Amino acid sequence: MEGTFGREGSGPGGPLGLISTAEGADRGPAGEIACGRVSIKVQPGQRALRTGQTLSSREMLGSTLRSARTLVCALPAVATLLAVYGCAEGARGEAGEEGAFTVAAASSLAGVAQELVARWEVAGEPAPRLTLGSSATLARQLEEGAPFDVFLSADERWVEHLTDGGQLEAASQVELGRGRLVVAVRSGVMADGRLRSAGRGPADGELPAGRWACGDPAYVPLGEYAREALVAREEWSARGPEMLPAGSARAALRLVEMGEVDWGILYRSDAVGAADVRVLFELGESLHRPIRYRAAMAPDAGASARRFMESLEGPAAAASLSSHGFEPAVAEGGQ
Amino acid sequence: MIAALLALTPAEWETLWLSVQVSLLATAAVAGPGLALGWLLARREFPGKLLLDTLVHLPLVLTPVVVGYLLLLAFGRSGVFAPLLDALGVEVAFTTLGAVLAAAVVALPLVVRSVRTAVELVDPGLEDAAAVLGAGPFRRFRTVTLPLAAPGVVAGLMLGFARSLGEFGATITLAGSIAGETRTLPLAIYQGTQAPGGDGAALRLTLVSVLLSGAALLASELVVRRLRRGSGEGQT
Repeated sequence: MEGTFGREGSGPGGPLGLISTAEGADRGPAGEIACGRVSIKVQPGQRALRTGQTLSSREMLGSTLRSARTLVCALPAVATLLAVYGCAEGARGEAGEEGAFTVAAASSLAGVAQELVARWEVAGEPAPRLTLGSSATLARQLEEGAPFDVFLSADERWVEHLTDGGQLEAASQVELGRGRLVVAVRSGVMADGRLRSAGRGPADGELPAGRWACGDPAYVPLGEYAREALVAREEWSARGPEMLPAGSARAALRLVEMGEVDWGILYRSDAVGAADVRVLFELGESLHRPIRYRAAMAPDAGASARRFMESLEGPAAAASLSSHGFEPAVAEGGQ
Repeated sequence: MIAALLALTPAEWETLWLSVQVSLLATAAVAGPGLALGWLLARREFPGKLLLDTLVHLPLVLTPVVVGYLLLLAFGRSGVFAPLLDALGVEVAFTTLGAVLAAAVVALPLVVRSVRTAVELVDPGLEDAAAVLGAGPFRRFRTVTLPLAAPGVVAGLMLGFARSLGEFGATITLAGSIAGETRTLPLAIYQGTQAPGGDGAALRLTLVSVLLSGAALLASELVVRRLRRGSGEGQT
């Protein structure tokens, strides 16, 4: 479609195109684009330009050619949009049928989720696509229409929020397990000796001194649980301002691992699984509301996603969760 | 608009004030280096000029997250400069100073570009004349080059200020998002968009951002116009 449409008069030697406003003009084998009354046919093989009878005046020809050019210029953009839309629809359709589906998981479930997804693939099912993030962020994205089929949340309240909103199926909820909070430091000896608390902890049960990391208590579940615990210990007002809020539990773990903070309040599962992090002590479960991990599924999730959800209640998932430091769900919370 | 501003919570006012402070400090911090580098790139030929030019302008095209990460590797607790910072007793990463540094590095190329163009437009003959009359290099710069290049310099600084206000990626990577210390307007807006129900704060702060950045750009334009008119009259 390289040829220009503009050429006065007619005859051989014209560009690769044919313009006609006349109804019932020659139908070319190549493309046809209709735009209002004007229809443009592009025939790559035909080296001729003919104008219909209604195109007698030069002005009309000019304006037609201009609109034709505009149309041709817009074509790639339109085609791209259509292609993208087509792909998106295709992906959705695929997810709705038998194809790959998407799993959105709390960042603290990274290890478990990766393991479950890998096993699912080995089992011959299509590999799900995994998105990790703060449960609150993922909930927000689901609320805004993100095409996640399965949501694994570190806070049952976000699942409840989404089942209330209809983005998740209430009947599909599965209790995954329970988590605990620990106070942790980076292990190993620091070359610069700035990590006062590294290597040796303060008296048992006492928070270390200095800057610490946790999830942002404004939205990250880890931060909300930690704030509750410190409020219960009556230490929030004193220690809260020293906190470096991270965008997810994993990001908080990373800050402790990197040594950018002196200590952190982390999930036990995250701290135990990290090589460079040492747990000082656990924050009592009575200090905060129970940390219940819960999964649920979108109402339009496909068969494969449904089977994946069912597998979450099986012994393999339970084993994976317990090997990563989660405790079994207490039955009373389930539906 | 005013109703929106009055509806800001105390924490949001704090965010706004912090943003203005960080941006002003960043602009002040890049003013000196920006002038020097702009003048150097406009007036001097030296080995490695191309390299310096590239380095200065890199933050303009690099994703700010990379800028922030590189700064963290340099100024973090276990960074390259950690021993030096330790000796000075200065903490950069995850402090207000870090937020200022991130904003300054990202704003620097805009200031340098503006200064460089402005200096290049100054007739070297005028500087030569001043030299013949006995003015040293610094005096020539202060009394001839700088006044004539003033519109470009001011425009560059204003642009740098506006860019600092909008800085996000380098800031969150190097300085985190600590309320009252490093959580500037873009970070607070981002936080608001991260969870269901955060739209109120995000929208209010978005409006504030648009107004503030718009005002900075407008002010820059007005100052440039006034200075152009002023310098035009001076020359005739």
